Amino acid sequence: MSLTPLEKRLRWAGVLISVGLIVQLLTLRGYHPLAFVAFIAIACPLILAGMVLFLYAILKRSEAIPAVQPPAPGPGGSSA
Amino acid sequence: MSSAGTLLLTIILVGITILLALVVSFRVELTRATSGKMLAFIALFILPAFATFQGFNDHMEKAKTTQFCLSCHVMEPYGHSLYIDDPSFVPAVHFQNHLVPPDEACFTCHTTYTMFGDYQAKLRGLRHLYVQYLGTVPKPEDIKLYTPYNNRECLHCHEGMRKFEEAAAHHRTPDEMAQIASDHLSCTKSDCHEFIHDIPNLKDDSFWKPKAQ
Repeated sequence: MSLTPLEKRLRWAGVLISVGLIVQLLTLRGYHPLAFVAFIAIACPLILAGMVLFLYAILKRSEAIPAVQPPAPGPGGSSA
Repeated sequence: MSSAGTLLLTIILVGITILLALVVSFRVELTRATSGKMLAFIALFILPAFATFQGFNDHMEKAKTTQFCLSCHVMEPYGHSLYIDDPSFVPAVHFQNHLVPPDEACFTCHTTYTMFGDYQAKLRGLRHLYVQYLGTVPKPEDIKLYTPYNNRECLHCHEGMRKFEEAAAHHRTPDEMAQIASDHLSCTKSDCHEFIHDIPNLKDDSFWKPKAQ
C-alpha cells in the first residue's frame, strides 16, 4: 500500500522517537557522566527531531487541505 | 517516591512510549481515522515529551549520588578518604556518622559542582569528560578546587545549629561569626577544620571498615 507524504513523515517521526527513547532507556542504566552526555547529546536530539517532524507533518497536512470555497453563484444569482 | 521507584516509573513510561511510537510507525494507516490521529498525537508528541522530561530528572538525581561522582577512576581516592579513621577529617567524620547522606556525600558539600553550578561550572564538567577520555588525567593529589571552598556549603546545615553557634572556638573575636557568615574567614583554611580529603597522605592513613549490612 502506498503511503501519503504525511504518513511517510509520521513513520519517520515514530522511528526517530523510538530510537531516541531506546538510547534513553540504555542511558538510564548507568551511573556515569557518559550516560548523561549520551542522553543529552544523542537521545534528546533524536526525540526532539521526531517531535518536530511530527508537528511539521501535521502543519504541512493542514496547509495542503484547500480552504472551503463558497459555491459559485448560479445563473440566476442563486448559489443553490 | 524513592529514586528506584521513580526510575521504574520512567522505564515503564519510556517502554510504553516506544511501543506506541512503533505502532504508529509501522501501522501508519491507523492515522487515517480520528482515533488514529489522536493516538499519533499522544505517541509522537505528548508521551515523548513526558518521557524525556522524566529521563532528565532521573539523570539529574543520579548525578547527585556518591556512586556517580566516584565512577571516574581519578576520583576513587576521594571516595576512599571518606573512610579515614580519624574524627579530625571533616569529610570522613560527616560521611561515617551520616551527618551527610552517605549516598549523596559528595553533592551535599559540593553543591555547585559541574552541572549543578553556573554555566562556567557546566563547561568545566564537559572539560573534565574530555580530559578523562581524551586528555591527560591529572594525579588525584593534583586536583584542586577552582575557587576557594565557600563557607556557604558548611552553613547550609550548620547555621542556626546550637552546637555551632555556641562553640567558644567560633567566638574568639567579637565579629568571628559575622566573618564566617560572610565567607571572609574560611572554615577550612583557618587552622580550624583544615583536614579534608588528605589525598597525598592517604597511604599512611588508617581506615574505618564498616560492618557488612
